[in-house]
Amino acid sequence: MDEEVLAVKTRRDLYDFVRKNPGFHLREVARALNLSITLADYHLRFLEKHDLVASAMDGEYKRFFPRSMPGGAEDRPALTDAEKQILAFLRQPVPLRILAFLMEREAATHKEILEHAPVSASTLSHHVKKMDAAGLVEHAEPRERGYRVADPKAVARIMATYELATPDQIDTFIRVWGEFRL
Amino acid sequence: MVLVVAIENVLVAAVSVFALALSVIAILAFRRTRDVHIVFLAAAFGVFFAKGLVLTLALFAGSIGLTDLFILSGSFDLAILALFYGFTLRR
Repeated sequence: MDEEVLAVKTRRDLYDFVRKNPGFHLREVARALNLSITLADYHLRFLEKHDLVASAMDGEYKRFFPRSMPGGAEDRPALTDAEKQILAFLRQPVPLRILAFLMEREAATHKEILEHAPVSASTLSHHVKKMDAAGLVEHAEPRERGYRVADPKAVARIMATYELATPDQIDTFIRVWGEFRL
Repeated sequence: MVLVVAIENVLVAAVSVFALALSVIAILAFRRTRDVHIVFLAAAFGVFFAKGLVLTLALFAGSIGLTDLFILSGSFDLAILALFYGFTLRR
């Protein structure tokens, strides 16, 4: 059945893309595969209906995640609900920057985060509150030290698995020059 | 003639600035990765920077002959290429 569902090339491309890039929202998926939003939405709905892809609403965005390997013996979810939630935040530029910054230290105050995130104080507060409510970040002890990542190991694992980071000039330098090494 | 010398100086100075910037980035990259190969890269850009400085001084002083300039420039280039070789091919 799964092979039948995936037989359409566009659908297979979409499924492969979601497996490799869980957490992208519809517009991003369509853009990456050079598809119209309507067509991408149609095929993703089809994949969702056949339990190959799952979606979760993140505010106004519908984000897609793989459910399980087609035809695999284990029908366990590819990502837990907690991991999906982490990925949904990590797919957004500002939360990604905040989390990447917090991951580099034990805790940081709102002011310290603001120095490294190119957003207004109110926008930063909005994102931090959302992540706090989702249990992704929490108040550090003592409270004056600001915020910290609630489960750094889980966030680090997801960041490493899906190559999520905020690459700076040095990362780019390492990556580009690294390609010249034999 | 004056214009040509001015262009030469500007070009050498620009090369030095970029070489210095790349050296600093390479040093920061080494600190981040601790990959010794990147030391070769940092050294190569460092020599590039040194070449720029030495050539600028030589051009300003005007005391260096064309042959000496070629030997000096060639030596720096050889060192830079050897360092790039070390970075890309050394295991």
